[in-house]
Amino acid sequence: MGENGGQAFSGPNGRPLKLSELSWPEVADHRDGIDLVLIPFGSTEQHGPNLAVSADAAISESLCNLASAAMFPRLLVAPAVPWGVSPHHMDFPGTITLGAETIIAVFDDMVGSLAQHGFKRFLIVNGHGGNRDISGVVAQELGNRHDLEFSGAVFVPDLIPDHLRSKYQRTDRVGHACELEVSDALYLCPEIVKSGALAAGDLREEGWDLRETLARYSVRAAYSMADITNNGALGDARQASMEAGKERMDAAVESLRDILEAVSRSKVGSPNRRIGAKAKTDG
Amino acid sequence: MDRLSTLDIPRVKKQKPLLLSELSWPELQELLPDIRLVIQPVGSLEQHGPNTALETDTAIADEISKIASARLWPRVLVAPAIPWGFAPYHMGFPGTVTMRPETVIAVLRDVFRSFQRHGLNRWLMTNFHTGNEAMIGMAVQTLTRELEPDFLGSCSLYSLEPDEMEEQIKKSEFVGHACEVETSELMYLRPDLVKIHALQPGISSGEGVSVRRRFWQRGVRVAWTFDDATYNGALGDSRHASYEAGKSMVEAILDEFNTVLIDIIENWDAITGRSDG
Repeated sequence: MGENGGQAFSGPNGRPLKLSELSWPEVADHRDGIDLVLIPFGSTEQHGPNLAVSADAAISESLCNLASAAMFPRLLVAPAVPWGVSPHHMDFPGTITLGAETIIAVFDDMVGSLAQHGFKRFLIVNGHGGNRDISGVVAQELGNRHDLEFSGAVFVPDLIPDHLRSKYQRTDRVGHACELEVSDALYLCPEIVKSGALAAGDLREEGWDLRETLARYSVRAAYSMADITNNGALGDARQASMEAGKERMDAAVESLRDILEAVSRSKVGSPNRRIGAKAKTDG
Repeated sequence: MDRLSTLDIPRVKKQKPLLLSELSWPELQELLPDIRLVIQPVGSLEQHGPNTALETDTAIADEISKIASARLWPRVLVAPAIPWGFAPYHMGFPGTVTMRPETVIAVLRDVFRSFQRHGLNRWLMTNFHTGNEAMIGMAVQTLTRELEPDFLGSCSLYSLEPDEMEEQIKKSEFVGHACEVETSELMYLRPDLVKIHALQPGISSGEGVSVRRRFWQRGVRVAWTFDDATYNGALGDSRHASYEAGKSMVEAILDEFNTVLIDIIENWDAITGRSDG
């Protein structure tokens, strides 16, 4: 998945800047040119018959690699966090879910380590809707716990302009293993797409009244995907296309560029300073 | 078609490792009755001198687990590797990430609980970083009691290296990290992670090494940092590394590891008096 981003999309040197692939002297050489560390945040969870369970991790990591190659050498990509908040998918085999406290600890330790090496700006690039709440909490917490200049989180679909979301939507109920997500995967990481098995969501109508009422008021509720779909998918993945994925993900890269530029020119500084914490010495 | 039919699911080919990350849920469902063990690689993201990439230990544990899985297809499922571990003594070199032991054990607990929910109840952690060994030993002891699996164990794969083969490969006194042995193994498994034009011998800082060696041999454990022992983060002399040496060492590890896996899969239930669950 990661390698695909490197081969298919080239920055000035043809490759994304991936922390895992570097030696420490190479990290030292690049450090001053790095403006932002991207942390891909995925999940290991069922995506119907349409995608491998690594889909969210593969999509967020491949998008980060694509952006890193395009903006070389300003974006450093950390190893993806391959699991997330997925209790609502546990009725389908292969799903792994981490507790919220575990996820906070993982990001705290990882960002704490990288901050010791002089990295001060972090953006979690989250590929899983179930991670949205915890990503926001983590971004705030990290800003509070460590001496950072920027600590943020973004959900991949929020990087896509509205008109490109409606342009390729073919069904009413999308958002998981649907024509949009499978299109993105066909472009970024086609090896996770089960092309011979693509199926529309086999929706359970009796589950949708409650689901849609709750959604109308943004009610957060514990639920199981098995209540709303028999095969774990929504939408209709058979209507996915690589071209749709390309247009959507290339736009997402430009959105990341916009965020990078704003973060780089910001004069606001450390989130700690704003809440009156003591200035910490560098190191 | 509006209903999912088993016939529509492409069969996972033989000779490939069985990787959780590559499967859809219907594919896994079909294979579940055949799966006897889940391997959970535990990695480390830590400096390896100028010689190899930060993910060296993760990659070696992961690749050996995958080859072993392919050879025992479809009985051994490999889960996504944990990409970092416990490496505080490498923090003097940029890029190293270290996790608190309780963080890694929390991840393992949540992951194993998830496996359990799907009826997968035998788990083996693989490891290639000495610094992880105490931590995963704690995980084995505590999580066995908490979760009561049918099997939970760990295997630090460097323990399977034959001593006489290491003696043949090593060309320097102190090996064990970013040295000719480890770099050879990586040349065989993941040559893309070897910095072939930057290979350097470990630059020893001298005084730290011999005192620590005396301590270690007498059972004294102290906190330390790797930059006390070596200025460039490496030990040994990676310029002597070779693909051939790596191949013979990794294949020797794989032979031993295969025996371990067969013991878990075929003999463990009889030893512990368990019937097949």
